[in-house]
Amino acid sequence: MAQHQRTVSSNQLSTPHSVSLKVLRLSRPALATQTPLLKTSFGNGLDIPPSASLAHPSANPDSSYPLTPLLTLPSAFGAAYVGETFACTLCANNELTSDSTKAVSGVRISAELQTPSNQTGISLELSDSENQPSANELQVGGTLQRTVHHPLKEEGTHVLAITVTYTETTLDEHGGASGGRARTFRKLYQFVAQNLVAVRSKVTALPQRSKDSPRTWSLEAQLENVGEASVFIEKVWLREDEGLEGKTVGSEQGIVLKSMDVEQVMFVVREGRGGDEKGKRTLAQLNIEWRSAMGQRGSLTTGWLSSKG
Amino acid sequence: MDSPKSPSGSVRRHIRNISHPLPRRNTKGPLDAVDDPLAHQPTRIRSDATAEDAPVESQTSTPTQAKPLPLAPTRKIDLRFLQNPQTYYQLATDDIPAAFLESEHQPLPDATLPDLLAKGHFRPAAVVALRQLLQADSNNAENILPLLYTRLACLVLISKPDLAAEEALQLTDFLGRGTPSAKDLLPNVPWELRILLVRLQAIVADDGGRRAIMALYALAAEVRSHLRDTNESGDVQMAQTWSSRLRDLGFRVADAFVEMGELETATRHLESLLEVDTDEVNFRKALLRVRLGDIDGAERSMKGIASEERHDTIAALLTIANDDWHNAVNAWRSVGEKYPTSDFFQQNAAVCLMYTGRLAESREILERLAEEHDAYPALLFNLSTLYELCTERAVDRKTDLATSRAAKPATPSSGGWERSNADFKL
Repeated sequence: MAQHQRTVSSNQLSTPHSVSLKVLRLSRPALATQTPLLKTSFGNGLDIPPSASLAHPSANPDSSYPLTPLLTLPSAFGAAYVGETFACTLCANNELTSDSTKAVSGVRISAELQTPSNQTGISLELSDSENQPSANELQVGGTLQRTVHHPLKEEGTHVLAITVTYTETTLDEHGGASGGRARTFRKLYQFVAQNLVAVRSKVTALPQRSKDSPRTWSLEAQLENVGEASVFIEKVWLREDEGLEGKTVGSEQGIVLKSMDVEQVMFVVREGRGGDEKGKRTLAQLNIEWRSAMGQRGSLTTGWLSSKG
Repeated sequence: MDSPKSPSGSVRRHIRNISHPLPRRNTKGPLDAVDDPLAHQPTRIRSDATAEDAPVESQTSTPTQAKPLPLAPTRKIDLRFLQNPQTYYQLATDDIPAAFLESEHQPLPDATLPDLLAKGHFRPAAVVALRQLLQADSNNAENILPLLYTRLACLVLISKPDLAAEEALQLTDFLGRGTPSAKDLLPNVPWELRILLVRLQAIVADDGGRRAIMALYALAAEVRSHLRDTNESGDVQMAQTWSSRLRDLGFRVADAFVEMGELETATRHLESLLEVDTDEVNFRKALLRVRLGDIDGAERSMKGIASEERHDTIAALLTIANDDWHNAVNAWRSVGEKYPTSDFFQQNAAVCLMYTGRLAESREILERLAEEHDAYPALLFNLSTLYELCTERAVDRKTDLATSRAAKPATPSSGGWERSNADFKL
């Protein structure tokens, strides 16, 4: 995420910090790929050992398949999509060397996310593992790891602001503390959340059989993949307003949308009983649930869609 | 999926002019009897209906209805067009950590090609293969073509498939022209080389690989025709060879779709394959679906896998898909204990540990694996990533890792012994 780093500010201009902060966006791990070569039988020593072209030594040498179940950590920040959960791991490292006359204690990380609608920032909860050493015991070369998760709901620029505070103690010749001071620094990482699935909807009133029969509408929507990666639409469903009943036309499950692909879905929404109601009516909200690479979940709910009148 | 490319910065473009005209064969004129286009029929794609009245032939790639002219067998193959040094790139060493270049395990300058290949010195092997190719007798296809294969394969192994793709163009273009001399050469081209040419074609193609798919279908048509011939001539062994090549091509079409990023099409294609190992197909489909995000589909495919190891592998991948990282760690660990010979399960457990906030543990496992086993690119990449997270002095750690790899004896697995800077994220 280095390319998204905007500024590094410090309230102390004096000595370099004893603690560094490194971050990695924890999007899903990827499947390693390979280019297996066919086994040859040239003889005369020109046959390349089959294991040479496999992603790992115990892979199946008879398979030509480029995908393997071998996992790799995310290689780049990638695109951040509205509707998906953003995860990022934060590592505060004790950068002192073993012969240093300083020690570090009380390391604390805090994180805030500035969103387009909340410029002051939302405080993020940090999760850790049970096996973490307590903050005070950050040894030389040690790392304090915390992870943040945040569901992205808005399109636009987000800034992840991380603050690291710690106490730096100067040691005297006998190893005793001769003085300590609290230090802090803050790093900002900027990224843009973009839409993955765009929805265009259209409501049409269907002809009524008689004046008193229940009103019926067709609700059509076009789902377009406006992101860069493929998306697997798991479910498209309606949350109807009270007194209404919706039914899908066709099947809206298990659609693969590649980048720029569009899929049309349609529902018929009907009033429960013959209405006295006339005019404009709120009909339903459209919900879309998807998964992207390696099962990353995402979802989107539209605003209330209504009839024209 | 992105096609693999060489790390940027390799200096190469200036040494080759791709549009350089091919040296024309000057041994025979177009009106010479042996080059008479009417003497040979183009390779036919025969349908089942015409199979019965097809003539009995054995192992020729250009089925003919007329008898070959008596001159044909003596006609010389001239491969001078493959021996132009301008066609080939020089391999820079500036992207290789000094630890490897200075290692005592570097091969001696007079190491033989078989030796280099057996020990996994694929960069020097690519150089030697080319040298031998340039020096070989231009008429000796049996010597030149395996050397060309070795050269291209080595480039693929050292992660320079884009260079291989460019170097392969001369032969691909020549064969694609379908001239009589191309047809003469075709039976001499090792099958492995033909498959590699198609694969490399997909890498340089600006059509996203569509032409490579067509090339695979064309190969399949050719194989079918051979298969029919061998079936008729009763050559059981050859028939088996062609039949397994045909099955392999079926899988390769799916592979090509995967590499093009056409994951759904790849799944559909796998479903259409007949008489194939269903376990293999289901495993491939499950992997594809996990990658695509079709988790229910992956579960359905997993149910069709009989091999316990593969079943457990997919099950572990599905715990990741469901964001269940603690279980994912446990799943990979338990498969790892069940199948201790496959060390990649532990590698995967280490990756998942990162998602549960246990970086130190993850690093320990990866360091141990890198120390005890043959390293492979994914392992080195993951470990280097962890080093980047652990300290500001990651370059030192990564350089140390390269140094420790360079001190190990050479092995051929997973790209060979020598690694590039990119493998260590240096």
